[in-house]
Amino acid sequence: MMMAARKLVVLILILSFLSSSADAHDIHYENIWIFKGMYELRPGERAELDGFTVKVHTVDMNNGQPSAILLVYINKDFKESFYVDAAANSEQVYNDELKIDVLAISEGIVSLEAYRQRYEQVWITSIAKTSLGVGDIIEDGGYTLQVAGVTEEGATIVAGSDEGLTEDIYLSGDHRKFSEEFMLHVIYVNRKSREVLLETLRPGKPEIKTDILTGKSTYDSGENIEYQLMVGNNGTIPLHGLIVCTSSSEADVQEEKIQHAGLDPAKAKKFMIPISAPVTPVAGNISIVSEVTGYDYKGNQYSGSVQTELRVRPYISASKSIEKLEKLTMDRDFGTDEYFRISILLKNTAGFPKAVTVTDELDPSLIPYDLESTEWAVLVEANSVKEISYYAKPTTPGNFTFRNAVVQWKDGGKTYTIESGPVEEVFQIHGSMVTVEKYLSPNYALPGEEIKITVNMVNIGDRKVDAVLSDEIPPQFSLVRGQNNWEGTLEAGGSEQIIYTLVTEETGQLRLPAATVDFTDENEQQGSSVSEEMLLYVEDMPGSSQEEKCYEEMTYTEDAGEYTETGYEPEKPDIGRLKAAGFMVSAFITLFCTLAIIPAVAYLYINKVYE
Amino acid sequence: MEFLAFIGSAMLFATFALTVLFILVMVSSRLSMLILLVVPLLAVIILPGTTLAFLSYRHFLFADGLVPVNNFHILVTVWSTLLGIIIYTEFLTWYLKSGKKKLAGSQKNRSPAQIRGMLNRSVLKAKEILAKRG
Repeated sequence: MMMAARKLVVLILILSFLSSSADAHDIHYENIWIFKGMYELRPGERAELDGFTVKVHTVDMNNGQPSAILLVYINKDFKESFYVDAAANSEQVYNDELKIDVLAISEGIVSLEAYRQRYEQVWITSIAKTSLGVGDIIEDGGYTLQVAGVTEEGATIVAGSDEGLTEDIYLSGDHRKFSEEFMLHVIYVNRKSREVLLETLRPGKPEIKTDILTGKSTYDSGENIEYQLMVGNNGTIPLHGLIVCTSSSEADVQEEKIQHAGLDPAKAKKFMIPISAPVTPVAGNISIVSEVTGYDYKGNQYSGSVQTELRVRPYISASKSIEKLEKLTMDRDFGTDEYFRISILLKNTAGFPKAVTVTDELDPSLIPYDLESTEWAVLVEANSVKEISYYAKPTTPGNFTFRNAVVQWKDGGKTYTIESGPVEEVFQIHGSMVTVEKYLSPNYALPGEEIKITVNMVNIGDRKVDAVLSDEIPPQFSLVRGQNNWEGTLEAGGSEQIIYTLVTEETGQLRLPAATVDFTDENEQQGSSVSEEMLLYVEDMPGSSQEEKCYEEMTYTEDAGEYTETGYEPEKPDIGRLKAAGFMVSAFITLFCTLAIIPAVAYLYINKVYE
Repeated sequence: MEFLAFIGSAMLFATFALTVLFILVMVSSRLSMLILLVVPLLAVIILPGTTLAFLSYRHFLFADGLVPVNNFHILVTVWSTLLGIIIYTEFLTWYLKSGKKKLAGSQKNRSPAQIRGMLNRSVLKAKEILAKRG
């Protein structure tokens, strides 16, 4: 029993010790006039202040001293009216709860500051509980505290500052405010150990922290931006009279100024500010700046600002999508099994219709179906989407990639261009296709000279095919060696080369017909390919082997791929010796006559002079 | 290879031009003109393939491929140059001959003996210089 009573006493002592510090919570608070903001009000305008409403009823500018009648409401119930001016009647207090301080009355506008009486935290612990013995000194904020002695009457503490020394006796729980900037709180005086447990307090400060949330970083022209401004108070005392000002050079901020009563420490408030992205023909960045201003209980101003940049797309945007479709069995032209459906989606986010030109350049192996060109002039209505859709058939199997569609339009005399997003997918077209190419060597020959014909066949499809090559030999040629026909199987990607040699006694420009390959794939799909027709020039005079060599070396090359070079002078080999001789004689005579004009004139002139 | 072809063509044309000039100086201007025409003409008639191939051989392409320069162009250039030399040689020779005669004839009665003597001395001096050079 005794043991339990002793424990209870100890518990009570511990609780009382702890409660002494809990009592100290009260000294952090003060009943003070809290600055609630500054307002400029015209007659009829009002300021909302935490349940109070201050309304300017009338403004009298006619007298020497301008005056106004202010009405005070609590929860929209009229309570009292005040006559105010900027001189003797500038400060009015309603029921020790609301203080109105009129700064000026000019041009019909009443400028006033509003204060609310409130029990609010002001003091913040600066030096936490510290135990000091007699003679110990601590310093804080320009003040020096020394425990001079501990007696039965209490602890004698000497406080020193620039203003001098102050000595006082403190009991447990006593506190003293030395100025508006410093307070001493003696928590416990231990007379036995002659120690003092104390703490110091100083006024706290609010601190504005701002952060922006925009949802996404890129917006369409004219789109509503999800702009959220998070304002937090990272300080130690409440913040009052918050004003959030938002501005942007390009975007349309619909609520540029927002007011908020206050923000307690460690609290945050989210402001939703409606902003519309600008309507622009070119993509660009916009900058949005928010400035937050607030006040502490004394009216000291604190501010913070935050800026963000957002990307705005042009009001015309385009996207391109490709869909690969299976051909019907009956309609498998070009030896391919699939075709493409190409969709271009045009979006106009502006509030006006716009005529645009859309160009979609296709791979040369793709043929647009039922279209003359892949260029369209279309009108896209305001805030609407327009789709251009067409089909394209691949002429060969293989892999296909697509370029971006290009959209052009005019705005304000300038032309703007955008491209659709890239189509990165590679589309594979299945099918059967054999290409055939025919070459001659040499392209220029003499009668009786051997001409080598090379025919290359390549299966560029993805299926095995049975192919038949037929390459006719014109009657003026005779086959010397090799075979001009071939029949066999070509694997996917496989190739075959046929070489044969011809000879002719004919002269002039001779035509060699195109080689044809007919093929049938595993699915019994048939197709054929034709090479280009070849031309051979045969000289009309039998020449020596030296002449032939010289001609080939100087005029033509063995490689048939360079045959196109002859396109510069295609008629050259047709000139016979007589024609050439005639041409040379005429050229010589022309030169002679041209050069002889001046001497002839001079001759005639001189003869005439001397006559 | 192209460079060698150009060197070969240039040597051929140089030989041709020097031959024509030699004949012009040593034999006759009319014969040199005839050779100027006849040599290429005979080449075309006798070896048409080779000659045409030679004349049509392209050495250069000027102005981004717009102006090709073949051996034929070089032949025409050589022709025009040598023709010019031959024609003006003939003309100047005639002028100097006929002009001197006519001038001498027209001023015969009026020219004093001193002037005639001076002219004769000048002509003789010129002849001496030419004889030394020749």
